[in-house]
Parts: sequence; structure tokens; C-alpha cells
Amino acid sequence: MKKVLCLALALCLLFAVLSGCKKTDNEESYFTVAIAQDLDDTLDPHLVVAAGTKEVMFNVFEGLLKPTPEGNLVPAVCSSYTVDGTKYTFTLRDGIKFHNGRPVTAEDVVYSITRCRDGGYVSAFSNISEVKGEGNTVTITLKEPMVEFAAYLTCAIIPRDYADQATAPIGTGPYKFVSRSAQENVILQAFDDYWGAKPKIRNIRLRIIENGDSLLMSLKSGAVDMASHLTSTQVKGLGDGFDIVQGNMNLVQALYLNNVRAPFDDIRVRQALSYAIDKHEIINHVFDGYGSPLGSSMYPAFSKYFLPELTDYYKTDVQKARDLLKEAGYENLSFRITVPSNYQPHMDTATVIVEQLKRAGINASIEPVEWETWVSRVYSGRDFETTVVGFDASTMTARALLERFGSANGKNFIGYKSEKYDELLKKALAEYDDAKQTEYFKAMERDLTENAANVYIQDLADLVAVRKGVSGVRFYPIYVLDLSGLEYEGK
Amino acid sequence: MRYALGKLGTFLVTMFLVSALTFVAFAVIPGDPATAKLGTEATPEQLEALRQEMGLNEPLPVRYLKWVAGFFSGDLGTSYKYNTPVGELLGPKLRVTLALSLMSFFLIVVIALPVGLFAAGVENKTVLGIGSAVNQLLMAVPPFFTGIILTWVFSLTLHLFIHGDFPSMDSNLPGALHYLFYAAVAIAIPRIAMTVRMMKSTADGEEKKDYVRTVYSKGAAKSLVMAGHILKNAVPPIVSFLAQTLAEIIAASIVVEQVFAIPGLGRFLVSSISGRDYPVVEAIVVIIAFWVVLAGTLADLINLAIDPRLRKGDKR
Amino acid sequence: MKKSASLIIGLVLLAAVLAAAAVSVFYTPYDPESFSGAKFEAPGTAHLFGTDNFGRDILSRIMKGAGTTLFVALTTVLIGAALGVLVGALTAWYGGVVDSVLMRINDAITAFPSILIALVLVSLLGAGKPGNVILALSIAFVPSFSRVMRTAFATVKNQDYITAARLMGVSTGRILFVHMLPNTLSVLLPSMTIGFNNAVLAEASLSYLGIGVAPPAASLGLMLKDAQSCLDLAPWYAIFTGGAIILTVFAVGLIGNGLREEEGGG
Repeated sequence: MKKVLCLALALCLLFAVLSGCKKTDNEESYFTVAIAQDLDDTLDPHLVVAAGTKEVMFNVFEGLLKPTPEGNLVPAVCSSYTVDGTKYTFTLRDGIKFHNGRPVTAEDVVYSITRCRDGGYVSAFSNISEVKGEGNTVTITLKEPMVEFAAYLTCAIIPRDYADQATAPIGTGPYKFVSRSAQENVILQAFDDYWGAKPKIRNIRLRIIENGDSLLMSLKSGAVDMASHLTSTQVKGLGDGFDIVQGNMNLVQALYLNNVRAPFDDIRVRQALSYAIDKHEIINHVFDGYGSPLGSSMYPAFSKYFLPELTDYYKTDVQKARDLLKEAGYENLSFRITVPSNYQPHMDTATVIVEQLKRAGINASIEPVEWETWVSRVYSGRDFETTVVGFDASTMTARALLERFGSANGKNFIGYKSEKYDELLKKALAEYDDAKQTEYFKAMERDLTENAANVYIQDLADLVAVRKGVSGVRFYPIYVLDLSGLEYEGK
Repeated sequence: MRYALGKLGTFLVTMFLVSALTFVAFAVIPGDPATAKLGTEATPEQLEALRQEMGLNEPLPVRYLKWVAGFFSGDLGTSYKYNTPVGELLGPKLRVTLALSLMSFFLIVVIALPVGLFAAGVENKTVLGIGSAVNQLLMAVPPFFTGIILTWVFSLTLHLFIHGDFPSMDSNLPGALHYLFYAAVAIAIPRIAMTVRMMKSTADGEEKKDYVRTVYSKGAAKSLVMAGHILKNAVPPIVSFLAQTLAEIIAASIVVEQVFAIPGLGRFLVSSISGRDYPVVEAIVVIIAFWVVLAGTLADLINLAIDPRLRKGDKR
Repeated sequence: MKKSASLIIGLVLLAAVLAAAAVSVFYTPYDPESFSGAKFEAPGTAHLFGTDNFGRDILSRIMKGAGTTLFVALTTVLIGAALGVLVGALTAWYGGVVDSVLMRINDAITAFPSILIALVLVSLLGAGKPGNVILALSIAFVPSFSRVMRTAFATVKNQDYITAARLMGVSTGRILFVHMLPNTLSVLLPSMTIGFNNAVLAEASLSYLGIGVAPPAASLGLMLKDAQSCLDLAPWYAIFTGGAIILTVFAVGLIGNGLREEEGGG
């Protein structure tokens, strides 16, 4: 009997060793970046909605303009442009090509802009009355002046005569798309004819690793060279061999309150929660101090709009919280916090909130849900009491963050209703003068804070680990992963 | 022949049940492919348009019948998320999971059967005590935890494989199998322990039965009794148990594939359920159903071959 | 009759775990959900088992968590085994149509992903409650019991004393559950200990996939999931939590062994 056992074990070991010996070396060398979300959406840049997909495809597509890490917009597909009231004139960049080698023409630009307008993919484009292309010039005429129109021109320019964008996309960006294998990897390659600075790293493989522990192991084992959105605990466990670069996630994490449902329709209750929850303790305790505290629906990367004085508008004061609740008649308040369970930072934040609320005599419980359930029930169905999530800006405008709290906005899932806010929003959107518009947006932020629309917590830190010897990680005010600046040091 | 037809019928019925249940499940859980796809930037109009495009506004039975019709004409549908035919997506994943499952099953059988037989013959209390303690220990560790430990030892310390760098099965089959081996071990360990335990207790149970005592009292040697009588009666439950194990390995692979970042069916199933990508989920569920029926059929055949008396029970 | 040693040891261990769980209702060294210390404090006099990633006392959480886990696993196994015995007995006894129908349903449940069952139940009944975890797991556990029990009943069925009983006109229910069931115990009991073991593992796996017991409540599975992500920073977290799981499963395993020895008259 023992012999059989020994034989079996020996066989297994032999098998393990033998199969381990053979390694193929004919693979090209890849720089491997781990991403937590698969690019499981259409890859057509106009139709894509998944944040994780947009984040990566930033390297493949460009608009007439593109954002810079500093938050400015610079010409990309065009080489220069002029604005004359409602008329925007773009000169196409000389010699710019798509990934399939075909030069970009004015017709492609007209096609891309028109497609987004007619398909409703970029809502601001409904303001366009005419797009015209002539030679290497494109003119866009607006129905009404719009201060932040340029921000929407980051919309991707794609070839008009290409049908496979959804699965094999073609753009003008620094990297071209090579292949996608579901749940496995996405391969990108530097585009030789790129108009700008050519990427230093030629082959990039994005590996999909959803699981945080597996990701950490993959970094340590050498399978992965770079990963973003790490937690402070993960970073601590990483050891040497990696540089940690810190940026911001650029999202507004808050305990979002259902403003139309009792007791959260009472401003005193909302303020009591704001006094009871200590955002600094959350950041220090769970995130080891990484993260920027927030006081309204705006994060520091939009420095023009950010109001630091709102951060501590409600200074933590448990007694005040109790008094406010007593006054409002909710002394034994208890409610549920619905949290998308696959987002560990939100789960951890909620865990601390529950504990902090206990100190103020409030009994909160966590309801973990899947992300899709969250979208359909909490966000679309508005069936919730409170929830911890983060919202980012889809374009580089304050409007992207603030518009959703207008009482008539379809995305106003917390049901926020403030006449003053609606008034300010209307004025801001109609304003042509940038400085004045900025003031309106700031006033809106104040309105959200004063009414304690939500309990604002923080802009999460974005901790990126890069293998030592590689530099060039760049952070943007929007949610993108720019790979084109990476380079091996000393080469 | 009649048996084969019967089994085909069995498979069809099982498949009908699971596929219909899956459709119902998707009707019950919140979210549909449209909300899953559009996320937080969607307007109600966009959602409605997408639902129309995806055909989600049709009643559930209609959608189910369409799916069934498609299935029998060889069309598994198109993934809502990847815009790619389901068959094309699943092919590579199926190979990976099949290799992983068979490898763990192989490990279970090859290790558990001899150890179990050996254990059944052991009488020494001390050896039994220690063996049983070790067995308990192995049973008690969740596969995901074993996975982490294996990675620590074999990847981070001994560098025998690179965790997170699963080679493609096409270009580097030995490498891929080698990688899968560690995951297979993580799945197999608790199940080996369970099988050994199952065998030991079944054999013990048989040993105490009257007929065995009679044989003993007639002076037959212990090993002969073991081989001849006990085994024959102990085999059917063990075969059933192994068949059940074969069926359950797939479920265990869901978690282990996550831990080892292996692009297999289990991991794909989880992400497709969250993405409400039900053409993919349906296809995977049908594959698992086939697998389960196959395991059951094998168990039946083996048991019939060993103990034809069971046939009577089946025919009543 | 001599009591089996493993039964006694098993009962003592299980009693210890149960006692810890019971005591936790009235007393734990610290509030298991409050941040009573610094993050990742090593085991010491203040915190006997150290603190976790939130600075919560691990000993207190293990006491509470053991209760949750025991409750979930035991209930799951009892429900699963009861239904499994019923299905196994019916299919083996009647065969034919009953057998076919029940076994097809059985196959369907085995093939049906248990996370999908869990998701459906969670969305129907609300997330994060131990009750839903139990329900989802029990349903998923029935097939393994019924398949094994069906074979066990079929084997016993052909024995002479059963035929004799049938000829004597004993009612079917009595034959199945009074005459046959005790003779399948040698299969049922180990299946139940294995089932208990599986339930503990499954509870942990559900936590791993984020649909188990909701934090901040404690369950051993949830804690082990948290512990493994900080293995470098706080190895004691995994050691004590894993130790508690192993102790619990071990105790139940010993009791299973012991019961069998008793039943066999050993």
C-alpha cells in the first residue's frame, strides 16, 4: 500500500518538475500592468461606458484636444484652434495618422463629431448647429456660447470607414490596440507613427487580476510590473523592489444620503450625521493618512473650483450631533448603509462610519451588495437610505460633478432639492464668462455643504506601485491611466 | 443503447431545469444587462434604447425559447459585454478549467484511494489518532487560504512558478499545466482528506457488520476479508462520493481561479453573473450540467459493474 | 459500555468552542466591533490575540465569530442532511419515476452555481444576514447528501431483513426510517461531519466573494478572508483565526468518529 502511495507522489512531483522545466523564450518582452477590471465593454470609444475601459483606452484614442496632467487642454488631432464666439476653427495636425496607417482627414473629424451629436453620446454636442470640414480645417458652430465646450472636444476621433471599433479599435493615440483576451489580458503596442513624443516602452500587457491578494502576490512574484489603485495595507506589504507613487483617485467619496426619504429629508438629521462622522479619523485609521478630506462635491485636482474651507465646515462634535437629533425627534436613529461589496475602500469606510455613529447613539448597519445590484437598485431605483460610494468627473469640467444635484437631473439619485442650487446651476450654464461661472460653481458647492446634502469624506489616494527602475507615472484630474510617459531609467 | 438514450434524456432534462432556473434567477436579481452595461452615467432614455436593442423588453418565456432555439441550432448567442460570440469566448476558458478539474480529480484519486485503503486497515490507536488529526487539519483549511500558502512557498520563496503569469495554453502547454498544478493541489487537499475519511469510515462501518464478523470467526485472514467482502460493499458509496467530488470540483475552481488569477470558467462565471451577461452564464451552466450528469453516469456504470444487485433497485 | 475517547475529546472541544461563543453573548474582553487598540497590535497583555486591520480585539471577534460560524454550519448541515436523507430514501425505495425526477432536480441543483443561488436569495431577502447564507448553503448541500444516501439506502434495501419486514407488512415509512436509516448511519454520519466541514469552508468562500456575513459583524470565514490580505503585517490574525476554524472542525470530526464507534458497539 505504501508503495502505491509513494509511486503516486513521485509521479506527481515528476510531473510538476518536468512541466516546470520547459520554458519558451520566444515571447517578446512585455511591460505588465495589472488592472482590476477587465475591458469587458465595447471598445468603441463613443459607446463605451465602463470607467475601467475608458481609463485604459485613453492611451489609444485622442480627441481634437487632450487633457494634460495639470488639467489643461492642449491640441492633439488638431495642431491649433481659434474660438470666435460660437465658432471654433481647428487646423488638423500635419501628417497625423490612424493606427492602420491612413492619414486623418477633416471628414473623419466631421464624422466623429456628428456621430456623437446624432447618437447623443456627448450631450453637450446637442448645442452644435454645424460641423464643416474643408481641406485640413474643421469648423464647429454652436447654437449658443458655451464656456466649457472645449472640455468635450476630448471626444475620440475615429476613422469614418472602419466597422470593427467595438472589438478591434483604431485611433490616433500613442499606443495601438493589438488584442484582447477576455478575463486574461489586453495587449497594446507603441504606435510608430505617433505625432507626439513616442512612448519609451514598446509592448504593454494589461493583465486582469480582480482579486487584491492575488494582485499583491503577482507583484511580488514578478509577474506584474505596475499596478494602480492599491490600498495602504497592500503597499505596506509590498516590501522593496517597488516605488510607490501617490496621486489622487479624483473622486468624491461620501456617505450619500437619500434626501427625499425620512429621516434624511430633515436637514438637522443630515447635519447631525456630518457632525458625528469624523473624516480625518477615517483617513488616518483605515487609509494610513493617505487621502484628501473633502467638504463638498469637488476634489482638489480641480484647483480652480475647490474650496478648502468647506472641508471642516462640520467639525466633529458628538454632543452637537446628539442635540440636533434630539431636536429633530430622532433620538434612537437606526438605518442601513448600502455598499458595493467589491470596493474594499468603501466597505472599510462604512465599517468605521458604523463605529463612529455608535458614539452618537446612532445604530447603522452595513448592507453589502454587488455593484450591478447597487447600480440598478440604489442608483437607478433610488431605493436606499444611505450609501458609501465615490463619484468622479467624466469630463474635465466642474459641471460633470455638480450638474447631477440639480433637482431636475436624471442622475440626481439622492433627490437633492434646493431652489438656490437650481438657480445657480442655471446661471452657471448660461454664463459666458469663465470667472463668473467659476463663482457660480463655488456657490453651488457651498450650498451642498450648508444643506449637508451628503456626508462628504475624502478623495481617495491613488497609490501606484511601479517596479524600481521605471519612472514616468503621471496623474490626471480625471480617471485615466497614462502609460505613454513610462520609461526605464538609465536607458 | 437503451441506457445511452436514457442518459441523453437525463441530460436534456437536467439542462432544461438549470437553464430555465437560470433565466428565472436573472429575472429575480436586481439589474439587467442594460443597467450593468451603462452604469452610473446612463439616462433612462439610453437604458430604454439599449433594452430595446438587446431584446430585453420581450417577456421572459419568449427570451428563453429563443435561447433554446438558438442553442439547438448551435448558436449560444453573443456576450452582452464583450460583443463576441459566446462559443468563441468560452472555448479557451473551458480548456483551462477542464485541465484544472481533471488534474485535481487525478490527484484526489491517486492519493486518496491508497491512503484510504491503508487507513482502513490500520488498527493502532496512536497512528489512527495522529492520522485523523492531520486529516482534520487538511480538511479545515479553505482552498483560497491553501492557495495563498502554496503561492508563498512555491512562487515567492522557491520561485518554481510565477504567480499571476499564467502562460497561454496554446503557446506553452507544459508551462500552463505546471501553473495549474498548484491550483489543482489547493483544490485537491481538503477533498483528499474528505475522501480518505469517507473511505475509512465506510470500511469501518462494513467491518462491524455481522457477515464480516462471521467471516472473521471462521478464521479468515484480515487482509482477505478486507479485499473480498468489505470492499465490495464499501465501493458503491465511495464511487458515488467521488462522482459527487468530480461534480463539485468545478464549484471549488470558482474561488481558486480567483486566487491564482487563472482565466477559467469559474472566474468567468462570477464576472458574467455580476455583469448580468446571461448568454455566457447560461452556456457555462449548461456545461456544468453536462459535467454533473457525466460524473453521475460514470458512477452508475461503475457501481453496476461491481454490484449488479443495484440494477434491480433501478428497475423497480 | 466504554465511551469512545474521541467522542469525549470531541465533545469537550466543541463544548469549549460553544462556551466561548455563549460567553461572547454576555462578555467579551472588548467590544468586538469597536476600535479598542491601534491597527495591527501584536498579541500582548492588552490584546491577548492582538488587533486586526481596524484595531479591533481579535480574541473578542473570534469568540463572536465562532458563534456565527457554528450556527451557520450546523444549521446548514442539519437542513441539508434531513432533506438529503428524505430524497435518498425516496429515490432508492421507489426507483422509477420518483427516482428520475428527484435525481434530475438533484443534478440541476449541483450544476446551478451556488453563488447564483446566494445572489437570488440575497436579493429576495436582503444582504448580509446569516439566515440567507444558511438557506443558500443548505440548498446547495442537499444533492451531495441525497446522492450518497440514495446509494446507501439502495444497498441496505436488498438485505434479507428488509425483505422480511416488507413481507410482514411493516409500513414503508417505518421500514425506511426505523429499520433502514440506522443501517445507513455509517454513511450518513461521516457525510455530516464532512458536510459540516464543507459548510465552514463554503461560508468562508462566500465571504471571499463578498456575499457572506456582512461586516462589521464577525464570522470566522470573513475574518480569515481579511486576515490573508495582511499576512505579512499581522500573521497572528491568520494564525488565531485559522486555529479557531481548525479547532471547531476538528471537534465536530472527533464527535463524528466517536458516534460511529459507539454505534458500532466498539
